[in-house]
Amino acid sequence: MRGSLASRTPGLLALAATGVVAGLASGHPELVLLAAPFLVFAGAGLALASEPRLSAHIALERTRLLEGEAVKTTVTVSNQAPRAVWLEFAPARSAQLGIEPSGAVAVRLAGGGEAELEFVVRPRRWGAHRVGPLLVRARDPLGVATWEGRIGVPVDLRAFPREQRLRELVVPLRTQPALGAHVARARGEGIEFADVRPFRVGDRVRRVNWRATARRGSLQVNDRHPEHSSDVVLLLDTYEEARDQAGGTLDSAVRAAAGLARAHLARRDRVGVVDFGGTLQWLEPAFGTTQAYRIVDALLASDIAFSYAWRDVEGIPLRVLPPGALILAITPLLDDRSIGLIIDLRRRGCDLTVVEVSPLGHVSPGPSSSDAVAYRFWRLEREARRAQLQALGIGVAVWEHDVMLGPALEGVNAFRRSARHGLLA
Amino acid sequence: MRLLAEIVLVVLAGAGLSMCVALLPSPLPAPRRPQTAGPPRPGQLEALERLVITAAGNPVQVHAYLRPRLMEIASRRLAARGQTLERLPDARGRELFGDRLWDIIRPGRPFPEQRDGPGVRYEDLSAMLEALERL
Amino acid sequence: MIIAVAALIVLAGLSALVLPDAGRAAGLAWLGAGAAALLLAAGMAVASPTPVHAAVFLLGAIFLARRDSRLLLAPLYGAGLLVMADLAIQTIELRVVERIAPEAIATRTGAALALAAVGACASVAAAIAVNAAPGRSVALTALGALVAVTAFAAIARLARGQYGPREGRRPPGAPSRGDRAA
Repeated sequence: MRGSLASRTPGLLALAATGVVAGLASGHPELVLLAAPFLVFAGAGLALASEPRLSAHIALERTRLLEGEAVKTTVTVSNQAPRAVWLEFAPARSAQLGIEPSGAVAVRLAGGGEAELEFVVRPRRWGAHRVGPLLVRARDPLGVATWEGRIGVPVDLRAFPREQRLRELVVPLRTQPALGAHVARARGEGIEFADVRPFRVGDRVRRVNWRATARRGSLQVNDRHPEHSSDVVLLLDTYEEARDQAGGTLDSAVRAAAGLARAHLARRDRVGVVDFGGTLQWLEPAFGTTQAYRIVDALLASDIAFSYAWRDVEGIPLRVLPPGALILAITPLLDDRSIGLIIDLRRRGCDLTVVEVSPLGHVSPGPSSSDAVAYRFWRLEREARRAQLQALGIGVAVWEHDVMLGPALEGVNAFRRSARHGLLA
Repeated sequence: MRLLAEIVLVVLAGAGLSMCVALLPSPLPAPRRPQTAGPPRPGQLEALERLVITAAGNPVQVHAYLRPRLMEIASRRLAARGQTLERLPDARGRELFGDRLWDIIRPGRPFPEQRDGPGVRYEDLSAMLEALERL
Repeated sequence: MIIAVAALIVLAGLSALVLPDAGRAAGLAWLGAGAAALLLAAGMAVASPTPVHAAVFLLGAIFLARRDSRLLLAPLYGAGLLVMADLAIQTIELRVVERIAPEAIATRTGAALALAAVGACASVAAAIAVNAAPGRSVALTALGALVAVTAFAAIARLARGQYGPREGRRPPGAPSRGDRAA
């Protein structure tokens, strides 16, 4: 810990010096007598002060929670020195962590004593956070010296994103021949009725449609669409985001990705993630609950990383983008590189949908009149960009701030149905 | 003499005490709250804010940077009506976009010869954007 | 808040020791006391020790307005000034604190009171010595100056030894001042 004189000490000694000089000069010994207690105070304080020996232990009630949830934190501070010390301490602050009470706590620790205090920590945003260390200012009994430093080992806290609950999802155009929840275009065993056709050797008797048989005079069977799974890849754009005091587009994008991943995994789809931006990271598509946890861990590591690098599709391994996979690009459409990648993927025949995380709720026009014109220009350009993507057959679900994602996805399904033939080309 | 001696002693004492106080180590500075800068604005918007200002007095900026963006917006909005900018007759273009905007986005507009002529003021640009929004 | 009020109460008490017996300088004394109160309150309000020290200086100066028993009251008045300054500075230091353990303030203030009492005793001893002295003389002034400078020098040395700048350590192998290039 770093020790120094308290801010009061030079002032007290200066007053004492003034009293002494004034007393000597004026011949009024009373002024010297007024100064004497100040001198004794400072001298005794400095002689008695000794560096404290402090340690701290930080314990969280739990280390995994949802963003915005509160967790009780118990801090135990110990004084290993023989003399008492006066402490002011508080957990180190972070923009992403809310701590109540936010101000410092003042206690007196006897020699060899300890104090236990509670704080409430609330992560404002998903991610991996650290609670601690403690910022400490210690004073001697008379307050003429101070020591400042950090004590205690930080504790990791993981805050998971609050997922959007989704009932409607983007329907993939192609399915994989594995059991799932999507009605495939192929014909076979299933629940969804497809057609009536003539009986063939090998068909089961229970599939015979007796009414159609009576009408047509020959054995007719019901054909059905099987339920297959599909591959879904979530492409998260981390080139750039729009952010204000309340949050940013990346916060919403990760929440959307977590909700989409969980919903598709529940339908027995294989889900993978590609974090595409200043850094390139990926998670290959897989099934199941374990994949859900891997995806959330991968999403927690997402962050905007500034880069001049221009990445393209070749940088993404083929096994991460399986043929026929539905690619959901979750992006604020703020960077030309991510828009270029989306167009490139579409031109390679990928089944692609864009979830546009609208930045408009996080960005206001600038203060001047010309800034207001620029803002309107920007909005028109964004609409033109959206139209460009739709002209290529890419559905764009515009997700505004503070609105549920589900209705935006419903609109995209309608677009995909009307543009189906072009998408399958 | 006695007075002089006392004055000298007092001055010396004062100097000595001042030096002692000055030699005291400085206290630690009071902690300051770190000034967090405001969140950055999107690069696309900042670039447009600069363009709106520079295009006001520079016809080359208008032709090279502003015009392509306005043409892109106009083309996309015409495409929704089943029309293209390249095939739009002059009269129809003026009717849809207004004279000022059409003069900038019409196909085949020549590069400005005068590099120091007037550009597009933001008030005029605002009217052009309004014409595009109406489309 | 309680500590701030306590500081102002001590200021009022110190003023009460001087103002009733201020004599011809009563007007100045009242002015000085009022200014000191304003400075003390301002210092605590804006969390700056400088106005607090200025208030202590002013109150020390108006003590000379008292016509008699100054030597008798000086130790008590000096201890009172010290307690007032300590309470005001504590108010400033605890501004950033949201929770205070009850015993923290009481024990700090108790320690300050105890030291103020010790300081007052030292003052009394000095008062006795002054009373016994034959009168102002060059030798007495020289002795007083020497004692004061020695005391301050000792405190400054103690402070620098404990909290002064550390001497820069040389990295291993670096040449010292006396070394010469081969």
